[in-house]
Formats: sequence, C-alpha cells, structure tokens
Amino acid sequence: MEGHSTPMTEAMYYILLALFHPGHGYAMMQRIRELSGGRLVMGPGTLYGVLTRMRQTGWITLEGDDGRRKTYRITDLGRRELVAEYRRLQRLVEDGAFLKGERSNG
Amino acid sequence: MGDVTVRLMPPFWAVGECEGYYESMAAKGWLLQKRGVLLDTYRRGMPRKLRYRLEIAGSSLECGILPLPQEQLQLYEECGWTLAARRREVYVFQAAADSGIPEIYNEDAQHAAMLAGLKKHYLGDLISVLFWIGWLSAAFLIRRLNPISCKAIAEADCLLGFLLSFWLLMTWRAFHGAAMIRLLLNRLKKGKGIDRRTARKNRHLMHRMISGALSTAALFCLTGGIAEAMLRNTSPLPESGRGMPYLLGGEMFEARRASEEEAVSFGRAINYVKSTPTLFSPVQYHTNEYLVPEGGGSGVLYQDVYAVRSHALAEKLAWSLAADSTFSPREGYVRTAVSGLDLALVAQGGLELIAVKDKTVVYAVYIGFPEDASARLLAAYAETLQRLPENG
Repeated sequence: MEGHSTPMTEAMYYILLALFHPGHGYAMMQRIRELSGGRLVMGPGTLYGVLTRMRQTGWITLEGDDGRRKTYRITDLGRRELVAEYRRLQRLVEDGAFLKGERSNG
Repeated sequence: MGDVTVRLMPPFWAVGECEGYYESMAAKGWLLQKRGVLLDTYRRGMPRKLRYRLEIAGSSLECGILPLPQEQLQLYEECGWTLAARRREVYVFQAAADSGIPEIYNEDAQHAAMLAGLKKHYLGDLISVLFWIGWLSAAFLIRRLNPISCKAIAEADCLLGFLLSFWLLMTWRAFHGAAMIRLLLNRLKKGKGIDRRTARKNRHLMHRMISGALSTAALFCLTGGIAEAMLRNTSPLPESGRGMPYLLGGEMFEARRASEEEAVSFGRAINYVKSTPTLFSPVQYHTNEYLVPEGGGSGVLYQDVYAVRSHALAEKLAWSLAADSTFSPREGYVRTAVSGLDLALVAQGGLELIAVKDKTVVYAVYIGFPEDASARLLAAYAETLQRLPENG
C-alpha cells in the first residue's frame, strides 16, 4: 500500500473521515464537529483550502454540483491514504501507551 | 447628517491591525461600507461588537485577480460570515463577535497559504517598479547617461524629482509590504496567530517617516511641475535684444527678420521666444528667428539658453548639448578661447556653437550667415552673458 510522504494535518484527517458520507461544505463542518465530539470547529477558509488541495491530489472528487453547492466524496486513493494515516496514528498511540495515566502538566 | 465618514485605509500588510481597526470602528458605531484606493468608507450604525477578517483572492500573471469562487463565498455565508467590503483581491468579511460563528481559519498553515497571495501582490508591485526603473536606466545608458540626464535635469527638474520620489515611494511600499507579510507568515508558522491589536502610536514609525518624506517630496515636485507648466509661455521675439540672455540675429548680422508670409516658405517658421523656467533653472529660453540677409537667401538663428544651479553642471550640460547636437558629433566640436567666456565650443563644420559663462549655457544653431558668424556670436555672448544677474 502506498502511503503519503508527510503526516496529514488534523483538518485533512477529519475532512476525509467526514467524506465517508458524501456531503457539501457546511454539512462537512457539522459532521466534523460531531465526529470530534465538538472538539474541532472547522473554519470555512481552512475547509475550503484543504478541499481544493485534496481535489488536486485526487483524494476526494466532486459528487454533484447544483449551482449553489458542491458535494464531495472520498476516492479510493483517499480511503487508502486515510487508512494509512489511521494506522500510523494507531502505532504512535500504541508506542506511547505507557503514558496512560500520566498527568499532562507533569 | 454625518452618517458616512471616510478614514485612511490601514495598510494591507498589517492584516491583524487592519482587522482590529475595523472592529474598533464598529465598536464606535462606524461600520465598514466600502474599500477605496486609499480611503475606507464607513456608515453610521449602532455600536456593535463585530469580528472582521480579511480574505485574499488568488491571482495569476495571465488572468490577473481570480475572484473568490462562488462556492467559497456561499460556504462563508452559511457559516455566518457576510461580505462587508471588497476591493481588488482583498475581501473583508464580518460576523458578530459573540455569536459562536467559527473562525474562518482554524489552522495557521491554511491561513498562511491565503496570506501568501498578499505577498505575491507586493512582490508583483516590486517587480513592476523595478522593471520600470531598469527600463529607464537602460534607456539612459543606451543613449549615454550625460546627454539625457543633464538636459533632463535642466529642462524638467520637477518632473524628474516627482518621478524619482514617486518610484522610490512605490518601491519602498512594495518592499516593506513584502517584508512585513514575510514576517507575518513566519509568525503564523510559529503558531503565534495574528496580532489584532490596533496600531500603537509609534508603531511602524520608520515606515511612516520614510513614506511621509517621500510622499512630501513627490507632492512638492508635482506642485513645482504644475507651477513650471503654468509659467511657460511663447511670445513674439522682441524688437531689441538688450538686457536679454539671448541674441537677435537681426541686430547681429546684416539681415532683417522674415515676415510671417516669408517665414511660411521656411516650413513651420514663426519667430518666437519660448520661456520654460524650472524650479532650479528659472532662466531658460528657446528662440527661433528666421532672417533674410541683405545679400539675399535665408538665415536661421536658433538658441537654447539655460541658467543652471552651478558652473560644474553648466560645463557638463555644454558637453551634453554637444553630444546631442543636431548637426555635429561631440568629437566635431573644437574648444576655442574667447575672452569673457569660460568655455566656447564651435562645430568644425560651422552651423553650431556652445558658450558657457559661469552658470549659463547657450547652444546656438546659425544657418545662412557669413563665415565669421561663429566668432561674432561668441564675442556677443561673452558680452551678453557677462551682464546676466545669474552670473553676477
């Protein structure tokens, strides 16, 4: 499986997660908020910039365009990248598992 | 009613201050309505706590400014951001401060990517200014620096001063803007976010001082140039040349001034004296005199008179005029000793001569006169230029 050269940003990761269900910009923002349990409030400028970049890399594609809104979905390449990133993050968490229970402010 | 007011626009490069300034104006009840070239227009409203954010559209060399896509605008609107004003690539969005509307950018990297467009704007300005400066410098060099610059300094000092100070101002603004955006991008890279505190009194003092000095110089030169243009006039040649810094051919040679009807046969001929004073060279005349010598035929005496600000510049100008003269190359001029003149140059083939006395330079073209015309003219200039108050 081919992986991306640099780790994904948080925005990229959550946008790809949100696009497992095709959606338009505003719906994506709502979905990201739900997925992150309200922790991540995606800004529309950030969302638009990342969407543009991910379309260029072929990780997402346009599903529909009604003139007012564009709907996107994740591509197969995007899925593979997302899964690769998930595994990378999982390994990081596993490697640091001994930290569980440590206080963050030391 | 005082429902509208205008304010000097904060510079683009101070993105955070600009946003903070709009917020402070809104808090006082002045809501941004329009962005102009230098001024922002505000309309009176209820004092409100608003957030303002600048968004920069992209641009390309081929297409110019690429407006924000409709989809992006729609997305901002759905999130609660409304477009308050726009000019060129700068969009200003506003939203209520305590409404829970998300920030436009929640990632500094994306914010920096957007601001890179602003850096491109300043670099574009810088490249265009440098291109024009380079082009003009090349033009000066190709035509040999001296002939153009000395004559231009004598004939259009205010215009040159204006162009120089204006270009310096534009270069400084573009360079400074690009540097400030670079610093802002570095700040974002370090995760420090944008500083939205409005400008402190002494903030950007050096920039303000340099811009102010160059703007004042440009304005001063522009005013001088307008005054110069208003003082220029063309009038018929006087009957007597006494007290004038130029000579009249009719008094010098056995010839009479051609009439208007006769002058037509010379082409565009009119006997005139044109006065073109400049701020630093207030005495400047250009004469054109068509003559009918007693022995028949036709003659012309054309003169340029410049009183410049120093003797050194006068000598430089003399050699510049020789290099740029109508009939002879610079090498074709022979230096002649004439009592009462600091420098006398005569073209080997006749027809042209240059005389310098202290700060005054005369370039003369004479056609259709006796062989000793150059010696007679130089002697007359020695006497005339001696009497000028500029050389007193």
